[in-house]
Amino acid sequence: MDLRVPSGWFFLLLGAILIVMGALSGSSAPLTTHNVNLYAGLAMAIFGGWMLWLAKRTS
Amino acid sequence: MVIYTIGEHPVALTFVDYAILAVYFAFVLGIGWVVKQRVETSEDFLTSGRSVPVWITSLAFIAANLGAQEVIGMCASGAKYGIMTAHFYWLGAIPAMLFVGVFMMPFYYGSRARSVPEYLKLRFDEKTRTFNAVTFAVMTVFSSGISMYALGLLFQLVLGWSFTASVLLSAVIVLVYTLLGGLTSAIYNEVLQFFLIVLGFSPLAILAVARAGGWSGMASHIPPVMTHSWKYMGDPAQNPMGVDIFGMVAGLGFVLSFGYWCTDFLVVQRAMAANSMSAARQTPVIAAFPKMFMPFIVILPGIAAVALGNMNVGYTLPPKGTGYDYDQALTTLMAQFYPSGMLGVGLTALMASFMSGMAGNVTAFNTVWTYDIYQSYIRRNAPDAHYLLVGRLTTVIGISLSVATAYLAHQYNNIMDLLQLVFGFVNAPLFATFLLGMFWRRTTGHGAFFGLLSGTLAAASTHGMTLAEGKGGWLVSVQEFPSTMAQNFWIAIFAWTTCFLVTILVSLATPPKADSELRNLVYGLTELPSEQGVVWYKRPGPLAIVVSVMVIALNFLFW
Repeated sequence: MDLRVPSGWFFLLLGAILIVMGALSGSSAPLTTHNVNLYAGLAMAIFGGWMLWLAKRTS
Repeated sequence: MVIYTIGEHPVALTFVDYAILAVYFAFVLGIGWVVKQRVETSEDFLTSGRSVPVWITSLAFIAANLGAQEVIGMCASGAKYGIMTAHFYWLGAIPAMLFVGVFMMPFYYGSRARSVPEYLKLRFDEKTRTFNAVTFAVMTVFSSGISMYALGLLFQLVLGWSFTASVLLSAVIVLVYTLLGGLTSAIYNEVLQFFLIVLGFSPLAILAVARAGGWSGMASHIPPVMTHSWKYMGDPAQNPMGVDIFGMVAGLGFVLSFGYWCTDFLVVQRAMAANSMSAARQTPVIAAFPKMFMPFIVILPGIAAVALGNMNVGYTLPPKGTGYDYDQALTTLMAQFYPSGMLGVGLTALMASFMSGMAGNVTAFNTVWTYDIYQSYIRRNAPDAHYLLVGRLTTVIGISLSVATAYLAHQYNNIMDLLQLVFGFVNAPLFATFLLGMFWRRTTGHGAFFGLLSGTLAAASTHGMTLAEGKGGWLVSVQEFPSTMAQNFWIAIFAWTTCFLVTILVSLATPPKADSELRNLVYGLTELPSEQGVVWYKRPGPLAIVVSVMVIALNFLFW
């Protein structure tokens, strides 16, 4: 099994959940006003996508 | 002003956070299930059949060691000691990792030993192997149990979950995926856990440091000793760790880190699972790249927490006794910067780091028990299917013992301190044994065994004769150290030196093995594959030089 595949899907999924959270309910954390869910979610989704792309490229 | 008290749960999870945890469990179990299909022999189950690609072994190499105690502990140390904590990485881990990859892997991998104790048997004799196998087996079960205990305690404190529920939940998940796929499953999941730890905690580091005003902003709100890693080490009285340069460099930088990274089967096992000699040698060196940047993810938030506490923004570290509960630094910061959603990811990352620590210890225990103890002493020449079965059974037993240890630690809190101590006693002399064994043909089995024994005794005696923060000195008090950390460094130095000297003396007085018996086990009698025509970045030597330059630069940057 190419570990990049499940890793990729895992972070794509997590990223998607966070992006939706970020888009819908904004952000409510005591010490920050940034939309943490949105940005972190984007980073995770990009990482996941990159893993999947790497796996596809070598197969 | 928000003040957290022990017993108050500062973090409340929503449905999404639990969903994220569930997704993680599903993936981890799924990976175990897929890997199971390819497990046919005991070597597949216990050693991955030497088939794992180098990028995976490299990340697993650091992930197996990166338990939650490190994530939480380094953040706590960052809050307590500042950037000096980075020495555990830049002075401790990195040089040792480079050394084991470039100089020691040829013997570990070339000997075709299935474990570190087995290498000792091939190089020396059965009694040396058994000493190492037994102490290692006991240590791993206790480490795994302590991971579970720390997880249970943390989740109880932070989330209000029952201790039993946390321990059993994590035990069951780890049990299932290691039972299914063995070492390969543990390694693959360690890599996933590593990604999760990096992606789950980097945002916290970025947010906390930014809120504290960046590096210079933080520096202006905390004592200068916390933002300098070398400057205040001339005198133990000048820094909160209570150490001086020699104690730090020789104790931590040399004995303790080399003793761990170069001989501990937990990490060495990941490199030994690689699919070729050059992959095995590259593993610790490639791993050094992400390792050197871990301080920015785990230590910086701790420093930021202290700065924020001084900035009147409504946050402070939770109090404990007359000081602070530094172990709560990470979790309380998460409550301040992570909204629901990311909070779930952060807690899943914490759970993941505990689980990678547990699974790593259990799989290492498994291999050592099955091959070095069971196969050597209990049932010698059974067919391979029998050992595969034993391996599977040992997984169940290992986890059960770990759960029992977790409860023991819960009952007797100072058991953890005692265990830490014993680990130190046993680990410190090991590197001397391996150094002499791998690079000096003349070292004999008797030398190695009595060296190890005397080194361990020297460690215990040093502890018995010195006092630090009220600990030790149970024989007579000859010296007082300003901190237990300083005491540990000096115990290590004495233990190593004693082992080194005794090993040499006893070896010279006893007959060595013939050269023919030492092929691939020692320097000068081991064939290294030629590196002609291989690009520089695939050769461990040049890579190690690049890492060294980078780490030296980091040390200067944070002087």
